[in-house]
Amino acid sequence: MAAGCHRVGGWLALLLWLVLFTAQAEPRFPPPDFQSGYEIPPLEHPAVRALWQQYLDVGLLIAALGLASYLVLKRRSRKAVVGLSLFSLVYFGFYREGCICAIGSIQNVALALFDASYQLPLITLLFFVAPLVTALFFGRSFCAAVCPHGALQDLVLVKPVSLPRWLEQGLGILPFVYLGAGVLFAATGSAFVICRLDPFVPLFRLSGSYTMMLVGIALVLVGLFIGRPYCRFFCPYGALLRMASSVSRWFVRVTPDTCTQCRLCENACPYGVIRVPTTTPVPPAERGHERRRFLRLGLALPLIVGLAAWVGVQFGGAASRLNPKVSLAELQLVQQSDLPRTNLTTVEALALSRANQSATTLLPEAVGVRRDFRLGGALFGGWVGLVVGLRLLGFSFWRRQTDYEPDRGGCFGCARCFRSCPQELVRLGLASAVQFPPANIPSPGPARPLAGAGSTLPGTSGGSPP
Amino acid sequence: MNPTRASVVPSSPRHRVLADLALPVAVISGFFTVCVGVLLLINHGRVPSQDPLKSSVLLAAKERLHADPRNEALKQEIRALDLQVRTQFFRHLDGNSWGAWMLLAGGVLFVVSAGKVFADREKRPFPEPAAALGIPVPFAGAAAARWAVAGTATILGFVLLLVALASRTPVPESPAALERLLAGPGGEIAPALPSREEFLRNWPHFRGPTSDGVCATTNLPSTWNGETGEGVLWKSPVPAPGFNSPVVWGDRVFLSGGTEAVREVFCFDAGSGALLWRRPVPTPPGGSVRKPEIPEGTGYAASTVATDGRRVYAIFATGELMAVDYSGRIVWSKELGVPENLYGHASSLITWQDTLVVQFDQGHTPEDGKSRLFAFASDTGRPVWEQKRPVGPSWVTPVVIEAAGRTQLITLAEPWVIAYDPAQGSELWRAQCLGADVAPLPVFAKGLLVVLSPNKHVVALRADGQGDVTETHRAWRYRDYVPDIASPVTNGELLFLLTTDGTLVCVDVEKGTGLWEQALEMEFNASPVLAGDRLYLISTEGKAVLVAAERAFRELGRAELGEGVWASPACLDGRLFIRAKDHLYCLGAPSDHAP
Repeated sequence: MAAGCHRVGGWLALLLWLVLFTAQAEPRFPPPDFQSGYEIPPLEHPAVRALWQQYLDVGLLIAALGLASYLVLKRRSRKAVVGLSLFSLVYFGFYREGCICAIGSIQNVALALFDASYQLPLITLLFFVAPLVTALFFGRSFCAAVCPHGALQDLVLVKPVSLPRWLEQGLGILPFVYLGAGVLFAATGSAFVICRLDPFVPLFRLSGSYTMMLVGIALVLVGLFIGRPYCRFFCPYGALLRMASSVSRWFVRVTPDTCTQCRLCENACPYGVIRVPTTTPVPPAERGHERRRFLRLGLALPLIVGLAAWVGVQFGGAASRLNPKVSLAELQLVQQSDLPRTNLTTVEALALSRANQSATTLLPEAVGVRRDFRLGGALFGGWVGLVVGLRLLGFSFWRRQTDYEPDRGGCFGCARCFRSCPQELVRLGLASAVQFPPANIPSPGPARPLAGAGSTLPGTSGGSPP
Repeated sequence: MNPTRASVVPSSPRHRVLADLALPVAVISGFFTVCVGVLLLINHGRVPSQDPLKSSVLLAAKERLHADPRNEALKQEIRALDLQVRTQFFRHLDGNSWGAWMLLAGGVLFVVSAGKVFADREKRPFPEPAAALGIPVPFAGAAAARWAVAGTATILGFVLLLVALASRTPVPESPAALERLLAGPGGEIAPALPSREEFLRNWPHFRGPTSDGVCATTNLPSTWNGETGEGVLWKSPVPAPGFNSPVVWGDRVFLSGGTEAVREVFCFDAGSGALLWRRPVPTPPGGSVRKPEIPEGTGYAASTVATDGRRVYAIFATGELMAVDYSGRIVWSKELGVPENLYGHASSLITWQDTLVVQFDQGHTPEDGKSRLFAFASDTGRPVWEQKRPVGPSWVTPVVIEAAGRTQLITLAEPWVIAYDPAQGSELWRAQCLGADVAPLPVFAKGLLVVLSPNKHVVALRADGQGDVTETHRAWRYRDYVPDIASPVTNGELLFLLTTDGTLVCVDVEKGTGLWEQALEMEFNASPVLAGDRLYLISTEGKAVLVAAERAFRELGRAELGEGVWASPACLDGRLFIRAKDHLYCLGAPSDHAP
């Protein structure tokens, strides 16, 4: 767990040194409104990051992904993973201030897909694609030691507390909802909400929205006891990585040798992703009951999706208010009506005054945005309904599994479970085989789904490695 | 007894030292981090109260300055206060910044040491045979997980619905609904740009549709009495002061008024005099505009509004410009900035086709380079073109004339008369013939543009030039009597000049020779209007003199309003609209225009 943390004095010194050199956002403040001959200095924009630096970022990302995969799957070293996590936290987090990041790149890709006028930067595309491709082959190496958000949460975990399985399953749908919402707002050109609501970037920058900074601190405090709360229950990119890594070619195994069924890895995993062996035959009565439940849920799936789509359409109206055109049009309408005027010191009001658009040009555009949100809201709701429905269906699967192994979709590759395994200690020569008597292992059998085909459903668990 | 993990992986002496240190370090660093966090929270709570924009002391001092704008000592005090509260504010921000660093350092130390403490205290289980731990049951926990997922989804759905109900947008969701909204309550779509004929029938801006004070109607009343009500169709109080003149379009009369507190546009019913609506200038982004130091003789609303039959446009001495539709809704508004104008901004607005023209001359001398001429799209306020002008401040309104086969936008300000192409804003010609304090509008007759330079001369220029025509296009010059406020009026043959001290002068337009002059023993600010062959002159005391527009002076009659008048009258359909000090009057024959 924190075994790798206590030897990181040198790393911490490096971290603090780099943090001291990270840019501090200057507070923006109106110039004096009292005329005294003071010349307001011209607005200075930060220099654009040089292209070679951007490619350096991509190069480091890809190198870190490769290294993380090697360290987790081949080297099986928690210490090395911690070291790489510290580097990622310092470089991608505090030095690069959490931007650009793969999590936010979802929105750029979504906007590029739905808005032909938006040109997706190659760098952004690479940041989006590289971790996903890596996940298809090596699992969630990005989460393991490359993502600064994950690294921060992983390193602050000092006393893991296990969550009830049902609670994990319930909260587990939230990343998919967040993913849908992020795509909805980005695709309509309204807002990059995933960036706006990022809780850790203000911490990396030591500046930003006070509310989000408090949320970030709260998540860090929660993360002292509950492993990676943001990654597990909110991260939209994690939802994509979960799906990709659930079919990965190579994946984490607690031990490359025979599982002794000691269950020590269950205790070592702070994220509750170790799946227990399931070799017990299902009683015929229960088998029939689950089949009927599966059929009923299968029939209800279109209804669930339809109902969720309807909710999404209703939500779309309110969500459209985040769009600048709609909010500007609202201000126009408010100004033109006899209603009391809103506080015009808002950023939106400034935007309205600068937009120089009349109601006759702005309103039709805003109506178009609302129409987009109607469709987008339906798709968003339908997506959420599909996720919920498939996840409910997934509970009717019973797959035979002989060893204690991490869930491929949920495993972050933190490498904590390796040293908990007696077989690993024996393999590394840290203990002798005689200290660990062989367990009474039931004979393994092939994986067999109870109903339907093998599951690769988003968020479903219980899949065993082939 | 089962062996423990510690017995499997022995710890080193260095390990034990670190383990002994971990707990006190964790406690101290945790306490330190909590203290810093609490202090940061307290500091953050205090920062808004020290926001310089909200400083009660500073705001109170600024309020005092509004009442006493020339108090230099108070200005110095405000500057010192401003600096003080800003210094204090930024000191707190610096404190926050340092606190963040300390919080980070304390947090890192706490995490590392606490991690060590928990790691060392963890009791590691020893492997047991699987049978002793129990065999997993198929579908164990599936029901609870199913309920958890369904419950989360249900809560989420309710939250989304609540958000949808609580946050509705007034923006319509379909083009059909948008059309209904744009049509307004009465279902009337905003009218298209009026025809030239309709434009000429109305009184759309200062001095009428042709900017020369000539009425299209000839049956104006010849007598009235404000005290007895004779000839007064209606009389309505004007809610706010202003020296601007009424403009009339159809059945609506528009005025503006303003004080330091609020600037407004008023719409009256031309038939009854009822105030239909009043629309204040919207509060600008940032709270409020800076208030200029303006002499009482000009006020905040000296500029006359303009209308194109669809919207009415108003500008104030604060530089606030806005367009309002005929139902009183603001279409657009903008701030041009407070003009540097010794007497306050007084140039009125005019419209040309679908643009609004704003002459915004300012500064102290022509070399200041601060004067501008703007053309904005009348429907959106979008800038169409802008010209920097090599002139000083002025109080004159631009005029559009048709001369030499082209449309010319004539502007006057020291020292240049400049003609522009109103469509592109490009300069056509210019002539250097004006002195300071230009206020009267030019008139155009017999191919001559007659311009007045107060206390200097009246000059006639041929308006068919190109480039600098100072030396080449001056037709004549007249120096005897030159009005400084009232604009001249012409019937095409004769030019009538009315000086502030009450001398009415008649000049031959073609030759520039004076024909006659008549002292009226009154003070005039209002520009005369010409209806048929009658001149209407209204003094600052509200006394009117009717004079025949002939080559010899002949007084036709007099009338009394009983209230001071500084604004120029407007006329439409046999009615004369006069803004007096506190009231708006409509004069005419009752039989034709009974409310």
